[in-house]
Amino acid sequence: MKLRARIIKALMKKDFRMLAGNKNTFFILLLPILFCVLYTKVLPIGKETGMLYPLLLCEVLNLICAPISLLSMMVAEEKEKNTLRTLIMSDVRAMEFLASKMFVVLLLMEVISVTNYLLVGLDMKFFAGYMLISTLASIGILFLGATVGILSENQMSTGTISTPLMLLLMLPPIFAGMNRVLEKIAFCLPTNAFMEIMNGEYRNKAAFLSGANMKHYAVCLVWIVIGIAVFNIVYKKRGVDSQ
Amino acid sequence: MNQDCITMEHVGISFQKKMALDDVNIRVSEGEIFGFLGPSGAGKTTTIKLLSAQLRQDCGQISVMGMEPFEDVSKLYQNIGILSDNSGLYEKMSVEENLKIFSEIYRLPKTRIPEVLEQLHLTEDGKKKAEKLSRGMKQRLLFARAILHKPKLLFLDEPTANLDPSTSEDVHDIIKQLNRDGTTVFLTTHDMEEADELCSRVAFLNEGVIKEVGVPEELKIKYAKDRVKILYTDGTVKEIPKDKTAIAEELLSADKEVVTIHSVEPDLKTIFLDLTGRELA
Repeated sequence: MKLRARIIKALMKKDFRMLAGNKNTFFILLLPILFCVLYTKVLPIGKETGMLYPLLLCEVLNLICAPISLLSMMVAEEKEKNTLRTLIMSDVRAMEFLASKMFVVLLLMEVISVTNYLLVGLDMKFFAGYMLISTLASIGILFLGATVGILSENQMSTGTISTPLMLLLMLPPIFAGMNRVLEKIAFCLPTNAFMEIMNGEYRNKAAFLSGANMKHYAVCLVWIVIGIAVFNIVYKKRGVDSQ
Repeated sequence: MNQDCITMEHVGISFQKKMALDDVNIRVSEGEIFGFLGPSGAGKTTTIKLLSAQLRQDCGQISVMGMEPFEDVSKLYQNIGILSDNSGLYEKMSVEENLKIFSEIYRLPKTRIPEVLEQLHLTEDGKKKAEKLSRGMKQRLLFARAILHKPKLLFLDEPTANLDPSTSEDVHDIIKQLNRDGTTVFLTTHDMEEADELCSRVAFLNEGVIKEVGVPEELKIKYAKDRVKILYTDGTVKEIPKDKTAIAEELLSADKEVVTIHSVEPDLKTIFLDLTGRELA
């Protein structure tokens, strides 16, 4: 399906306006930044663990909150308020509608990533790699977030699917050291891949593009493939608007 | 004779084995206001969904402006406007912002928004947030959104449902004006007075089946009872059989002047009731 840049641009403008007027979604976006302030200023845990650890925690939160919770809520909101139907009847293609929301969320995630990085004050030599890997890790999750939006009838119901998915992506990487099972689960997650690559570079164990990190890049790529596949199956089966 | 804007031939669709529309045949000419009348659940909205490529029929042929709805959805949506209870607004945005989104999507000139706002008497409220508008004003805004791109064909699904009489009257004026400007209107309603006032032709739909199609005035004559009403100068009205002898006898025996003699015509509501045995609700 051909995507029209002019329509996506118009939709993105609209999505930014919608976000600006919605306190709930604004709070979801701010959450990783608030935690970053908490970890670095109020409870300076980085003094003991190094500044990378709070950054990774907040970035994992960013990788989960925005693509899954925020994106699915944005899609579901337009379904719930019938504005999606109105857009579709105005010659907006479903994929343009979703692409606009995914671009907006991705852009906002990037802004949050930069903000967190600057708040933590980590050496700038890690910055490019950090941005690149977090973006790579986010793509598969973005497709899953859009899928959650397609599957949900309204904003309330997004939580039913998004909460378990968020827990799955967030908890195993954080508690991977506790036992082997969690470690194995964590290995398969893009959030963990992001943490491992960043840890390796920070502790001088493995450079960003070293062979040791290839398995983690592979995990991110597999998640992108899975994300696109699941999205396609659900989209073809349900359509974006199942009314 | 105007060209057909909409044709439906032997169209049928069912949901969970229940026929929602059964063998529907209608033709709507360019430039007319066509009323699709029936009670709730008769299949009016389903018909609009079929005509606007939101649903596919199980059988039969549909043509909208010379093409099958799903043939070129993009072209179809460039040429039609829809106002239904499924139409949504961006409540947190202003009237102008709501229209701006669609103006950008349709790539319309900047002058179009003030033009439509003026047409819908919304100029003063352009900066107001949609959530602050009254129901009638929201309906106007939905109207503005539906006609923003100057569609050739406008689908109106119960456009005055839940509106007060004064706002309904405003909506009627807008529909008439649009039609004068050349827009073909496909209107669904269960309000027979509204249909009588606006529509050049109507179709009666009951339980997915078309019961009758025609010009309101012709239908009234067709279903007129064989009786006439005589109005006398003193205001009394007498209804007698439509029979030459009976009329002559009545006129000769009356000791007062006659104002009018008129055939007793049913209104659309009565015709619908006679045809279907159902009240419109």
